[in-house]
Amino acid sequence: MKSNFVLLFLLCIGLTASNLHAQDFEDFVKKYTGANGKDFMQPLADAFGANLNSGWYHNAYIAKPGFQLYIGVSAIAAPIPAKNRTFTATTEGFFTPQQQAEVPTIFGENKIIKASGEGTEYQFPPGIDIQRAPMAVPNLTIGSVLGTNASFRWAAYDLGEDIGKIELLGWGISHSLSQYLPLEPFDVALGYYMNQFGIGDVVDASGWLASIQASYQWHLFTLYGGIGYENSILDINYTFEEDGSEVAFDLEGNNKMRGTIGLTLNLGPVKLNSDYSVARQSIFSVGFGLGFNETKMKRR
Amino acid sequence: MKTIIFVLVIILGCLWGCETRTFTFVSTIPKTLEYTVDQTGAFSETYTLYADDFNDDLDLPEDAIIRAVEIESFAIKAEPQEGNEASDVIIDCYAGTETEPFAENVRIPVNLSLSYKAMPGLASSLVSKLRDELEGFVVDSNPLSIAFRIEGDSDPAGERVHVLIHIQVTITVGYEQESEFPSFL
Repeated sequence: MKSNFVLLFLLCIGLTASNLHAQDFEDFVKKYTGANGKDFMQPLADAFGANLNSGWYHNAYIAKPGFQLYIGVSAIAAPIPAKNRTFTATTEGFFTPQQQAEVPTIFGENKIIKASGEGTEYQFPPGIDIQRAPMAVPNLTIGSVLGTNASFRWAAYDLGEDIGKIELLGWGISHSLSQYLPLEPFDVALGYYMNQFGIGDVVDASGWLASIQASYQWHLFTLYGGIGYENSILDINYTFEEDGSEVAFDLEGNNKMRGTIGLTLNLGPVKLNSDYSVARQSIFSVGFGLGFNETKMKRR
Repeated sequence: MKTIIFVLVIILGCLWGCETRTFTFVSTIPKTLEYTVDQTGAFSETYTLYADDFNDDLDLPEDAIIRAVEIESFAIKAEPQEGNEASDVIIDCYAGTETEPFAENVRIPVNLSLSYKAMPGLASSLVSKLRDELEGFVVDSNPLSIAFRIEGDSDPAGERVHVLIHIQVTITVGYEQESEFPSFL
C-alpha cells in the first residue's frame, strides 16, 4: 500500500515519471496531521485546481451554422509562486515550549527547519522543492448547434484493487455572443466548464470555470483571451495501514478570478496554442491538436 | 484508448528527462515505554529499548543517509490498576548509564481518563546525551540497547502504587535519499 500512496500523490501533481519511494512521501505528510497540515498542503490544492480549470479553449470563434471539431491534448503547468512555498507553522504534539517558524510548504525548499526546546528539537518536514506543478489533459470540442459548442475531457486508468480507478471527467459548453452582437473583427463567446477528478476513495477533486472569451484572427494566428471566475476543491483522505493514522484534508483552491491571453497557430487542421492565465495561482498552458472549421478563413 | 492516453501523459512527463536529486526527509517515530508498578513505598522499574527493534519500527530505506536524530518530546500518563491507592506518583527518569535523571520530580496524576501530558523540567544536557545514544542506534546500532529507568514513590508516600506508567518518547530522524525526478520540475 505504501507504493500506492506515493503513486496517488505523483498522479495528483502529474509527476508520473518520478520514482520517489512511498516511505518518503509518507514522511513528507505524516507529521502534519494536525493544524499545520492544511497550510502545508494548500499550495497543492491551488495548483491542482488551477490546472484542472485550464486548457479548455484556444479560440472564441464558433461556426454558425456548421460543423466544428477539435481533438487534442493540453500540457498545463502551474508555476509555484514564492508566497506558496513557505508558511508559518506551529510546533505540534508534546514539544515544549510551543514555537512558530517559517517553514516550507509541500512545494517549498527541501530543507529541515528546527525549533529548539529543553534539549529537544522539533524538525519541521521539508518540501519537495519543485518550481511548477504539471498536468496533461485530452480535449474534445464539437459543435455547433445554435452557435454552441460542447467540450469534453476524459481519462481513466485502473490502478488495481488497492486504490481503484483514477478518472478525470470534464465537460463544458461555449456559446457565441458574436452571433447577436456586431463585434467584428472579434469573436466573443461565453463558456462554462466543469471538471471532476478522483483516485479511488482517496482523492476527490472538482472545479469549474465560467468565462467570457474573445479572439482575433490574423492570417495563420488567432490571438485569444478571456476573463474567468473559477472554483475548485481537493479532498484527500488516506489511512496509513501501518498504524491506522489518517491524513484528511478538505481544501479549496485560492483561485477565483483569472485573466487569460494566448496565441494559436493554425497550420491547416493542425493547431498549436499557448496561453498564460494570470491569477493568484497563475497557469501556463500549451496545446496541440487537430481542428476543423475553426477559423474564419475556412468560412470565407 | 485509455492506455494510450495514460502512456501519452507519461511520455509528456518524460519529455524533459529525469535527473537524480537528493531529497531530505523527516521520519517520526513515537516509542512508548511502559512500566507496571505494583509496590507499596518507593519503586524502581526499567524498560529496555533495543536498537534492532527501534530500527525495525523506523523502517528507513536501505540507501538512506542519516543527517539528524532528534528527540522531539516526552509525554507521560499513569493508569490505575486494581488495588491502587495512590492519587499521584512522583518519579525521576534516567536513561542509559547516567546517574543523574533527565527528568526529576515529575508528578503524574493517576487517572484512567487522563491523556498524555508533556513531561516538564527536562535536563537539557542529559536529553542531549540521550539523543547522541539514539543517533548511535540509528546509524550503526551502537549501543545495542538503552535502559530507561524510573524511580519514584506515591504522593503522599507509603501508599500502594499499582499503576501502568506510559512514557511516550517522540523521535524524529532527518535523512537524505537520492531519487530520480523529472528535471523540468
